[in-house]
Amino acid sequence: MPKIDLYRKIDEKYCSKRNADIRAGIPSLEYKNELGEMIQLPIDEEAEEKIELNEIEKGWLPEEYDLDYVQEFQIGNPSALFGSSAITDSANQIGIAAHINSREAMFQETIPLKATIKDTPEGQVLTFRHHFPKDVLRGVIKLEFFFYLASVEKKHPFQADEIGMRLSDNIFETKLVIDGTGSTFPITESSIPGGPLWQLRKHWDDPVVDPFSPASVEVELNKSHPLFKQLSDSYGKKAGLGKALMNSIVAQAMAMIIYQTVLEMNNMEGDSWSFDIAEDGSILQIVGYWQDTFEVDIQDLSISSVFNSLQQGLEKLNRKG
Amino acid sequence: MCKMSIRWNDVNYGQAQAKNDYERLIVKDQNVVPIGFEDDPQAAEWEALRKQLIDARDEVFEEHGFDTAEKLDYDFDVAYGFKLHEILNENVGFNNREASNNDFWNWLSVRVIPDVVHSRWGDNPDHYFKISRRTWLKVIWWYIHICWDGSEEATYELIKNNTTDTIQGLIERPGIGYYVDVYHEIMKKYKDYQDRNLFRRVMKLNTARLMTTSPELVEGGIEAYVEDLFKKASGENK
Repeated sequence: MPKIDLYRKIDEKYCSKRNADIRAGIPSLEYKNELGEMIQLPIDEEAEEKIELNEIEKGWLPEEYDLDYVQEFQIGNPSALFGSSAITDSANQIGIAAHINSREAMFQETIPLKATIKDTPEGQVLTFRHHFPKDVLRGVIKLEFFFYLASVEKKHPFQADEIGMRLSDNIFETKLVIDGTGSTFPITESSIPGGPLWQLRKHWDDPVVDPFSPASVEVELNKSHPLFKQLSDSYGKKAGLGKALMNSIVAQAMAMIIYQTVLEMNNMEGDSWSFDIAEDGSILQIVGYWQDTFEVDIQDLSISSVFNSLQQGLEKLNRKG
Repeated sequence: MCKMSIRWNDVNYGQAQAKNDYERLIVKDQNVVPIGFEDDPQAAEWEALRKQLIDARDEVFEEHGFDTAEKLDYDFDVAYGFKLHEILNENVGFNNREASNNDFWNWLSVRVIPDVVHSRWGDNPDHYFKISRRTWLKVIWWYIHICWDGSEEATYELIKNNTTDTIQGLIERPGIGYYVDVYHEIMKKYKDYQDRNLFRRVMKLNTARLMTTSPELVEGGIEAYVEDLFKKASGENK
């Protein structure tokens, strides 16, 4: 659904050279090693939106070293942002802030850059510096930068009128990958004498953020069931009855997870949600991937339409493979 | 208490393993018998940590008379939470990186002190390892961490009138990460209210507002942001 802004925001138009000429520099990361030497991490411009620290610098360990993040933002012509027909009045000031969060490291905060943007034709460079102490980072850390209204002296119609109001979408975003994040289908084993061969257990609270892991959802296989051995013997095999049974269990579980997730999203958000809002590694992200890869029908949501279209998609993929 | 050095990063203890070990725990006379650490290279360190945590439990039981309590509740969560926070943070160099590691909390709950978890939650696996946002030791550590107000006494003053509902509302929905400073301010403010429904409304309003507002950037910062949350949630006009 298209978003309608109630006040003017800094969009693509303002970023162009002819306008405010807004540019984000390449992030710079460094740390002090045990000899006291500052080590600069090599950041490739191509990979600036996902910086895999665990890959590019084996010497940096999150539990042993601090990490300094520095990034510059250039505003070639700040004047273009000011005035009664632009973003805010000339008497006001615009700031840039960074929202930093990590689902795995369990924190979030917003840090405003020290300098603010004033109405001047002279180019301005704003620098973001942040020090991450050792033993705090884990998983994936997301940094998102945006403009906000830093001070208000004078107001005009169709302009933001309160301090702190967001004046743009993200002008730059990146992810620092601290620890590897792999995801496999969450299959666990239990012993339930007299119980069924498998059950789907749902523990998630919010599919947008909760990780696709046994903490949120699990296919629980019953070790006490007479057919369990056939299943466990099929691990790593390419064919056979046990393998076919396992594939069927996974397909049914996928259909149930897709159905339940889409149902919850529809109930929570109506028709205004998309898979783009999913956090990295979340259930919604995996469901989006399945929906796309196997062309699963989620329009007229019913368990049969989800399951049948998923089966067809899986079959197509098997034949190709 | 002696200081220990534990290699936290060596704790690799996912849910599947926790589940297997959990099934090996034996309940005897309503007590759980731990399965020991003989298969772990840091066995001595875990034994030492266990001793500190069990001594702490005994102290807490004696101080508060929990022996005669029919069922352990919020008071135990808080009293043991303080001990857990102190022991982990001060004695074994524990930090946020470790506190956000589910493998560690699974290990602590199933292998190190399953008997303490059992005294609070019986044999409900949700609070040992099964649902990470409900892992009790993790929950009480984060509760104390977020509410920490400079000292145990000051923090206790802040949270003494709360209930398990408050813990649940604050901790069990980490979302994209705890907004620690905002949550702390909410707890400071809530001290003057103590109304469960209001707390729920504040937390709900906060979740909705964070989609569009950064508390640090509004005029007056986090304090003003939280003040406004309470005003709106309690129906007071500005």
